[in-house]
Amino acid sequence: MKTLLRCGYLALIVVSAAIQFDRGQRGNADSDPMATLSAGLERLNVHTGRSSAANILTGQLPSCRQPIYGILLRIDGAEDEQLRDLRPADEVVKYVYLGAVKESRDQAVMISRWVWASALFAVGLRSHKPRPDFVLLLLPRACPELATLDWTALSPGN
Amino acid sequence: MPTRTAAHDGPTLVPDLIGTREVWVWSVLTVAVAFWANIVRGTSPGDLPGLGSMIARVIDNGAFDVFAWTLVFARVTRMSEAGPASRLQIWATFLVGAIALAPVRLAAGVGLVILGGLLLRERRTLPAGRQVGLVLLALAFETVWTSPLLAPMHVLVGSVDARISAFLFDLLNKEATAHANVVENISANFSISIWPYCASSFPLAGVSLAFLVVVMYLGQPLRRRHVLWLAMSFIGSILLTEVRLVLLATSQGSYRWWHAGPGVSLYAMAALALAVVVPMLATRDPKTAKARLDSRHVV
Repeated sequence: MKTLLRCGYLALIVVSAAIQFDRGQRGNADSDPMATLSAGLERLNVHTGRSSAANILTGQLPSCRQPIYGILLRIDGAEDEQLRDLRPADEVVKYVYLGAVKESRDQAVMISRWVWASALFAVGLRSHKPRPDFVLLLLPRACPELATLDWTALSPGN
Repeated sequence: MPTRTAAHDGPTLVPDLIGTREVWVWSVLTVAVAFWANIVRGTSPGDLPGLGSMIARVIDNGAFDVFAWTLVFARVTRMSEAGPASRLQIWATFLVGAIALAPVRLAAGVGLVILGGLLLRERRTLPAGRQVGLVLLALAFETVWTSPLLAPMHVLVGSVDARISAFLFDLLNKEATAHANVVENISANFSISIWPYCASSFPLAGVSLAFLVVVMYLGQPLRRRHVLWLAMSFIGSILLTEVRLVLLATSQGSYRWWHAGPGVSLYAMAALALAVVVPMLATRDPKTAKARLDSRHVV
């Protein structure tokens, strides 16, 4: 009886450790945000090109000559310095974060979405912890068809 | 199943019955593995594998979690009187183990609550076991307090922090406003958002854990007057956070220094010092202090 109980405890410890680390491995599979952004653009039939900076992707739709820019920025504003010189004249700006696409940067929306996604993650209903960055999109005004695309693919809600 | 075999002579252990002390060791080990595995493996996107990253995550989680678990393991073999384990203890510890299988940190928190509660209500628990029970409950409290489930509460506190920061800027004759969780330093044309983990309420569970662990390391019993000192510890922590938020919102350069530069270590050192000094003052025996003072006069 004693041996059986000891085996039971040992099995629980080993299985618990194995499950935790397996979850960690799967969680880390989504650790490259630029690859995720690129895959999201490809899903929208936007062919991505080389990025001019570490967190910027350029892309092009077959029906539109002008490039599309996707910039990955931290939601806490730590990388906002990059936006200081940004004066989009011929582009429409969109902010994509966890299934929301907004015309302006709404911190309240970002926080509430982050809180909800984090809560789902905490109780095991979401496989990945929400990323701490959002996508800033610059879409050429000359191509109105871009407005009809589902940009939430770049930062899905779940 | 285990039963008491010789009640008149006190409990003795039949060779095939598992002892209560051994069951406590297994159960603490089970919940410790779940607790630390959740931290070591990392849960954020971008968390890197490798020993260095794992150690960094352990350090990030707070030195007092390490101290608390060291205290638990130092006392794990003398938490209870010797004797066969009860059915309730065995089933409860298996339940804790089963809950800990869930790969979320909250599961480890639930396990800690059950184990801590069981230790506190068990008749055969020794004083060391009661201390361990309290530490396990404090660890559970910290796990829940810092979990995303309580993030909405920290968001609300963050909005109050933003207003306090704006007020502090006002005292410094710098123009600043607060709207929701954003502090806008108008003088420097710079603003910061206060996220749940930056709010002044966020570290309070860690502060209470630190207080409890230091008091227990000093071998002092918990007294009612310690609540007042704990409240002072909370106030100190809140003030420290407010000062940090003001420093973060001063300028872009200051933000970098305090958010990702040497300021991070400086803030951590200040928080650690505060967490240690207050419980040390709280446990200072006035008689001993007076005796020391008298002996100094004599010399």
